Amino acid sequence: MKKKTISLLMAASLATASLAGGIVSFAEESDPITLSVWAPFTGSDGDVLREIIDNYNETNTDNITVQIDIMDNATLQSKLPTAVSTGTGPSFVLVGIEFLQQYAKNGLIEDISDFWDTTGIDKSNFYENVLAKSYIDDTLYGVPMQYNLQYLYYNKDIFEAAGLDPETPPTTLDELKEDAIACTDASKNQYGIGIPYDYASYCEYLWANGGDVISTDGKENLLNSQENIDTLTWLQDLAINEGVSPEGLTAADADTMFQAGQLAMYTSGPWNINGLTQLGVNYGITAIPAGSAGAFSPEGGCSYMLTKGADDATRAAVYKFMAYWLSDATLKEWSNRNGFPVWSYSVLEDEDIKSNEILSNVSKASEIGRDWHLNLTIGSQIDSDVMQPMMEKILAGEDVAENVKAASDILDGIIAAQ
Amino acid sequence: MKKNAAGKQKGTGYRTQKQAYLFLAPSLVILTVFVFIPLVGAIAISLMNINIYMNDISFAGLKNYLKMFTDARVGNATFNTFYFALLEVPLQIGLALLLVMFMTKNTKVHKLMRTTFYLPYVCSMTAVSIMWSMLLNKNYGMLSYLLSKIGIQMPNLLTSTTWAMPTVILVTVWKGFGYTLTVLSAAALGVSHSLYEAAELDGAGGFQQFLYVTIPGIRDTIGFCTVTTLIMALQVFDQIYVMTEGGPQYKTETLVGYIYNKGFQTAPFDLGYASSMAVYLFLIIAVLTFIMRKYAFPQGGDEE
Repeated sequence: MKKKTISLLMAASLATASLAGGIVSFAEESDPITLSVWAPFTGSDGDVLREIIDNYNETNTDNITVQIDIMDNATLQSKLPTAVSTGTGPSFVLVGIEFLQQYAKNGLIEDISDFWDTTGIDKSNFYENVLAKSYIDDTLYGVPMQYNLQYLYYNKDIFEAAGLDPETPPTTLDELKEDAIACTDASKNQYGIGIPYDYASYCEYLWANGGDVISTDGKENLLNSQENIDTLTWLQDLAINEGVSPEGLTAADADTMFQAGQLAMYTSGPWNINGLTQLGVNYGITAIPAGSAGAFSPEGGCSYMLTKGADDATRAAVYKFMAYWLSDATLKEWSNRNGFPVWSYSVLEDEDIKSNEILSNVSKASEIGRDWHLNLTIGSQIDSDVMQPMMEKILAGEDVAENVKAASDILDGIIAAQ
Repeated sequence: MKKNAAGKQKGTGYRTQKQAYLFLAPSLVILTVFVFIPLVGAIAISLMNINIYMNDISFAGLKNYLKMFTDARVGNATFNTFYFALLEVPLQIGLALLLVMFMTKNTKVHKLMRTTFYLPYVCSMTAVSIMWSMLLNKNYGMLSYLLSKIGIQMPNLLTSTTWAMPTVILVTVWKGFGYTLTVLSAAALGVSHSLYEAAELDGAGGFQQFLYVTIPGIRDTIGFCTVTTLIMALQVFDQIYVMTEGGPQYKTETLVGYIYNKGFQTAPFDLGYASSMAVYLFLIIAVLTFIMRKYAFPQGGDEE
């Protein structure tokens, strides 16, 4: 009897020991790993991102530590290629989807097509058009982090003071023009709408009336068309003759002026929502107004991308972090705190999300997304060497047809050189 | 004895020379690593087809250099660089000289003024540029607000094709003249007092004393300031990058700005082409510096 008890005890302690051993060896299986990520989130959204990552570092059971390095986009873009080619780059990056093609083509990022199978995440839970931004043909190069379009912001107080209904923002370009004129009061340094020359808002206007810059495959120059000339003449008239936009306005100025209540309307991405809410501006947000051909808004967003040369352990750990980002809780927190539209069907069902007014408006205004040239490898070049100089001259009052022709010739050169 | 002394002398000379090299070594190492090697590297890269991704590198010969002749923005950037330098350097030196005239003494007031003028120089150019762009902005800047109170509408200086460059130049002068002033007044304080007394005895007034005693006395320092300011002016970048980004309509795009744009800002990130422009700028600076040192401000060492 005693013997039996002792042997039982011994067996039990052995079992405990082996169990404990099992736990120990289980913990040892996932060696601690530190991942680095570069991101251009210099605004208040960067603080939220940092918090989410800190939270991940504390709670994940895989012994993963993610270290985020936030820098402005220009710095990131000039550092990353050399860093990756010399093996000193980050484990993964979080950048605008417009860089994905360029990175993939130049061997900066890894093919991650096995992501869905490895992590077991159901990709049908996400908007297809959002996921499509991270694919090139059938190869996956990134996992979406956020999705956005351009929206029309309007100041409800200015609308009311101008005798307009603050709950019915313009839905067509004609209404936009009327409202902009009504809200302009040069004596108070108050303008109807901000039309910056250095920002890609021109796309919305060109598309609305059936024009475009370049075909989506990047091969056909569509700039020098009668539709574009008409739209740009309309825009020039609005800015100069009607004086609804401050002269020589930059996008950064427009942000500041809208915050200060000097602009009744302007178009921008959702990253301004946080700041405007904190400042207590009485604003509304709605979809880009429609022209003769409909309403369209350029699609943007950011994706996590795995940098070239990642070993298996890094790849596995980065996948785990990406999967964490795609979880309902994280996506919900991100949208809720930053006002970015929701693109996951399961999060869309969430009550908190449904009851958030700005967020529902943003999500509603996000149905008119359109693919645009910034995603092309020559996209940033078109923007900086063709469109910005052209918009700058047109908004300064120079001849529209002449400048469209000149810009179109430069675009021909860029298309031929690619 | 004589022979011995000569031998000893030779020995010491040799040893001092060896010691001199020892003292030179740290600077030589730094110069080699950070100046000579990058210089040779830039020349090598300028002869290659190479972009920032470092894929498909090949030899290009003089292709990048020839391309510069057909690129209107290179000509424009060269013009803007000289426009900037030819206005900025005389303004900065002139303003500093003018102020030196009023503060040649080591009194408390003069010291305070020198310190005050030196303050902008210790600030970061980026911060200074951001501050001025905010002050000068027509739409929400303080200056425009104050002027509008007395009924004056100011132009949007930094987005005007006429005013952008002069504005950037004035901001640069504002930031830099304190440094020139400090260097020049230090030199002016070193001019022997007896010379002033002699001039006074000869009946020279304050301005004449400055013109005929102070300026000749600090000629070498003026030369030094002119050459260094000129080199800095030809390499102008930060204030333009922050304040105008080369705009409006490339009116403030300088060579360094265009080099940065081609190499790091706009696809296809052509490092070869950017480097060839860097070599071109290097040659401009080298030739100008040589001419200045040789003819305009020859120093003791050079004349021998």
